[in-house]
Amino acid sequence: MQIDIATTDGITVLAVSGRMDATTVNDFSETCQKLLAEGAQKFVIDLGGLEYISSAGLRGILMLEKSSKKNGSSLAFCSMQAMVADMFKLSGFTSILHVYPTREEALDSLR
Amino acid sequence: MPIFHVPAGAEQLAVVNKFLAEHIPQQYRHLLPKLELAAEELLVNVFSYAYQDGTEGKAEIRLREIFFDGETYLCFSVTDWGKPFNPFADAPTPNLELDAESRPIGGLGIYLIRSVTAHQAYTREENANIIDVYFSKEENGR
Repeated sequence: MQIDIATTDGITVLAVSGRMDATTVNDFSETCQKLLAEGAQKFVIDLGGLEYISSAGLRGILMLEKSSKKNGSSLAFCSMQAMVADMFKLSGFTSILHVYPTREEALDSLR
Repeated sequence: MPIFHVPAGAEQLAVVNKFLAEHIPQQYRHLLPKLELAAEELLVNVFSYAYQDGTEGKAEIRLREIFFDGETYLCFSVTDWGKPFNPFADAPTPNLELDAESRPIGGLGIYLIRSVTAHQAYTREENANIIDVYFSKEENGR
């Protein structure tokens, strides 16, 4: 899994690619916790490059949502490929998280 | 019938996925992400729960096409020699209606396996736990 971090209009954008599974989810969680601790307030998680997610990855996503709520931060997800979109839907995540088709729409939701 | 012996540990997922990609029959290739998902969820369970006594865990996975109840399926099996453990027994159905703050962390693995497979079976046989999950060729047939 690779995570590229950029900032656009004060919004931290994490572009996640590869696979989010039991062996990689800790890297994602640690990166997010570090950014939250550094005071980032708005996040877009672009999952366009993510090919695969398991329940371990979904756990990492839910933990991030809980931490950001606690922290008063805002979070938007976008650009999911079919497999990841399927898992979000099956898990009910599409109704509890802010999910957008494109990065631009996700950014707009936080501006 | 392709069989692969998996040493214990989540770090083995990459070699498991390589085995699955190499041996999945062509007519089921579109199901590979779901097969990888079932393999990860089941093996993580085995290495988390079946060998809690400290013995070095091991598992065996098998992939084969079978005819069952009038239909052909891809059957993925996981065998381990740990303590008796049926992951499908008493696995609670997650409440998908809860909001993010109220949702418990975890508890989705077995639910996801049930969601992407047509049938699931558990057998305890000669000190081994054997789990079979069946994939229908039709994407919408799970």
